[in-house]
Amino acid sequence: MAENGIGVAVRRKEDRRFITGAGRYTDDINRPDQLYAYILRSPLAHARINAIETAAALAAPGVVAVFTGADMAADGVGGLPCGWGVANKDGSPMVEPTHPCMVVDRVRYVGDQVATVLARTRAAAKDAAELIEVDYEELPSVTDIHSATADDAPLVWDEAPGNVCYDWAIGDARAVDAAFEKADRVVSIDVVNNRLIPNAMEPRAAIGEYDEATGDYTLYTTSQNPHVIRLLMGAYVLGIPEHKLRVVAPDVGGGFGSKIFHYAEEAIVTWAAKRVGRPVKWTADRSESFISDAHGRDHVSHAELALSDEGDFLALRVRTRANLGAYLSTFAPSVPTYLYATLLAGTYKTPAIYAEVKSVFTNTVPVDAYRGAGRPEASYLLERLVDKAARVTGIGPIELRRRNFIDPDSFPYQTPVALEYDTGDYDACLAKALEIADYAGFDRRRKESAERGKLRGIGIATYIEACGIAPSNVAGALGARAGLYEVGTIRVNPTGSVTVLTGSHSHGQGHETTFAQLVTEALGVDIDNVDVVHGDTAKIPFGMGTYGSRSLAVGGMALMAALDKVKAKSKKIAAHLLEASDEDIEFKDGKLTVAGTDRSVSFGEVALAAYVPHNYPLDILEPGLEETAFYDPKNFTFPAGCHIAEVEIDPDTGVTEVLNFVAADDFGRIVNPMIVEGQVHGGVVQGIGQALYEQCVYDPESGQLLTGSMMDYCMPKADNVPRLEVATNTTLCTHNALGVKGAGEAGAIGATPAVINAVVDALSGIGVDDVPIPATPERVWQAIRQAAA
Amino acid sequence: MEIQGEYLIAGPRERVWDALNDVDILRECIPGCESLERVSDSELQAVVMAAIGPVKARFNTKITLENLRPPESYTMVGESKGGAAGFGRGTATVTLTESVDSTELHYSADFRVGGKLAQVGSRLVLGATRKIADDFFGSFSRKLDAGAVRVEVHGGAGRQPAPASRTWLAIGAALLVLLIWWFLLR
Repeated sequence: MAENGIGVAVRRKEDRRFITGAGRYTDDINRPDQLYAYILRSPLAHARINAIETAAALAAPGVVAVFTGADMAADGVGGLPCGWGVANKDGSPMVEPTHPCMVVDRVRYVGDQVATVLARTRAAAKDAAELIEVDYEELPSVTDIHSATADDAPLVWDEAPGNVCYDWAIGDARAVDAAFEKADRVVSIDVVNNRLIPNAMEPRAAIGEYDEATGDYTLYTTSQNPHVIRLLMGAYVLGIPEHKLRVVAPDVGGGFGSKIFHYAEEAIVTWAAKRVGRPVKWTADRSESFISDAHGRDHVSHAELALSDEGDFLALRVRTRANLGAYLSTFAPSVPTYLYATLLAGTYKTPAIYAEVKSVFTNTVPVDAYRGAGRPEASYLLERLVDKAARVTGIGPIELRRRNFIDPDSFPYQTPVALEYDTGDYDACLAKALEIADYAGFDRRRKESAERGKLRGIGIATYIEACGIAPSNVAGALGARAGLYEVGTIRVNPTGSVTVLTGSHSHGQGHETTFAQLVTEALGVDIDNVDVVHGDTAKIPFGMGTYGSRSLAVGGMALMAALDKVKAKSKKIAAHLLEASDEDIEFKDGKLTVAGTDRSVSFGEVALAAYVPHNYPLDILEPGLEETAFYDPKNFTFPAGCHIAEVEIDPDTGVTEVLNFVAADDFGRIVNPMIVEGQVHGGVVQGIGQALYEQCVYDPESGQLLTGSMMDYCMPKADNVPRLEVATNTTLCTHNALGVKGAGEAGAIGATPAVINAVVDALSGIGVDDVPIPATPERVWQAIRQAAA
Repeated sequence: MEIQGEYLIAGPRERVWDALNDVDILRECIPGCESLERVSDSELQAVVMAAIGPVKARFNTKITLENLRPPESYTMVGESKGGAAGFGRGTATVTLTESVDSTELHYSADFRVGGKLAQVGSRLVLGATRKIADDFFGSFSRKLDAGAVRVEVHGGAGRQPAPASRTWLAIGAALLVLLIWWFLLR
């Protein structure tokens, strides 16, 4: 193992600048002569716009321009594209309404973009926006799934009857029906997956710039995938060819999916910059984030599990309705379908599965991928259902799971819902988690809590996720409108240092360290002599960005492929320098040696020779040492694991305290265990947040967002979280050379069902068999009271 | 949101009615009122600086008086815009009933808030509205040098216990104020 190579807990190289306040975020960037944009947003959930009067705003001090949707439409600006099409059961396409950057005549959610004011200061723009008179004719609105699917529901889109975007299904309905007929028992459950508001630490921001001399545009933006933004905005919205559009995503303070998508403000500032001939900057404030960042989750499901008397799962039937919000965000259609229902097998060998998903439009902020994206919804549903089955049958949560786990020797395992798992050992993770959680000692702890008048519960959840999205041909067959490979360049500089160019984007994941470790391992270059560059389409050859825990499994593999090319060329150069055959050159610890001899050259000497080719095989080899590779994965990767939560409830107040939390995960090979542990911590806290605190609430009558700030939207805080015990049990991914699977989302997937199962376990002794999520003190208290009544 | 309440105001019904319709009195008694003008016999326009929780803004409010039945009752329909702070909209009906030596004022209002006011202040609106009403009646009573007793105020969320009775002069103005407020607040 190299000193700072694979498997070493190297301290994060990027942290020095972050913790000294020297990070460079979009809002830290200021361009000469820039203007500030303020976006006037709809205060109504649904309304027709009869007129927008902007003259007074335009006359306000400091104001340079006021634009509306009509101005963009007149310029031929297109709508925001949707990157994934989903078909109905009958094969017809989903309803795909237009998604204008600024509305023209109808607003569809509180927060919809109505007008943009450009002024010399942010305050002047904001003040002037107050002078814009919008004549709204309010229309009835609908915000929740039940109301949206009611017979007389107001329509968000005239072209979407019943507000249905698509009615989709996966699996073999007939096989499932047959299995249910033969079943000894059927256990069913209704679950809600609560709507979440992402709240990355850094609000979104964007700066557009246009160079009249060259016709080049530049967009600085808070994005997880600058190349994707360049593609979508350039090709579909503004009609700017790639070579004339540079997208820079500098340091980004967290994304969790919410910064994958192409947002209107990016196109507005870029377009406006050309219109006014000055750079245009927009920065969201926190309140704006609540009503303009894509929200997450928001499912309502009914699920039934058919079992034999012995507890074998025979079939699973799931009916889900998902809220997509008012418009289709970039990847919205894929989240409740291909990223959700394909994971309903979980870690179990259920032979038949059928899932129907109806996704609906509502007058709410668009909903899209949020940490886990579909997979937390699948795990939550499945693990709640399995836990209920364990209770109802009396088989118990451990035995029932073990009985149905896919055996370690049955991989590759084809699920009934499209995926082929390559490897895993679910019982090993379960066993590890049980041991660390001291499951055997739980009864004693429960008694001790009871003596203090408290209700103690323990909850288990296993999970599996499909990461490393994705083999492009598979994704394409499922409706993706882009390839999902990744690109990496290894640029060896003349003195032997290395610059890594990666299409993956780091916004908290620690790529600058992890990717440098790959280089150190492969080339023996000191980690301080490796720099990782990302987030700039002018510097990086290409890329698809960071989401779905794909950076290492796809982006890292692209770098490995490039490193292989560098190593192969280095061997040829060394062979020339050492007057040997390149097949006889061994590359190890930064030295290239003729096998079986002590004749060697250092990697630095090879690099120098490549750039100063005085003694160099110019007849067979180009000078220079820089290689690029595109890597398209062969399959998804399948991280899996077991999380155990132990909670204590105060029956007098309904307050739930998480006392212990154990995560035993299989992420494949781990490059930096410290970073992985940090990823798990963050994910688990988000999962606990969903289980106990976070809930987006709209007023059902007016469609107003009622949880529009952190006063009303409760984020988990440090004192809500116990010490987290994190362990791993590794099986290597079989289809990538690193054996890596991905770790970014797991915490948020496993934690939520573990915590709710623990809450239900704590309350089951007093007759409560279900609690709403999030299990807030009020709801738990009500559940206790109802059970007592 | 729905809110209703009753005040017992010393003085004859006509006097209460007149005071409720006295723009000068209202302007001085409405907390944060920067201007209040009668646009027509049935229309009032006000600018009020108001704060609900963290939302502070200048609210432009229009109130239309309908179903005027002096000195018994009337309905106010109002809309209040606070720019970036959001908006409020609602209807309130005020009824004055003669009582021994006094006038009983009853109001019931239904209002909605939107925008930032809903996003960050909705929890606080009902309480803030009540406080503003109380402040108004306090000022109003001092202005008229008389006494009013608040009998009960309760909102849609459920009955609120009546606070210890205080002496206030209340007037349908209460309503007006409330209305303005709600609208403002919104």
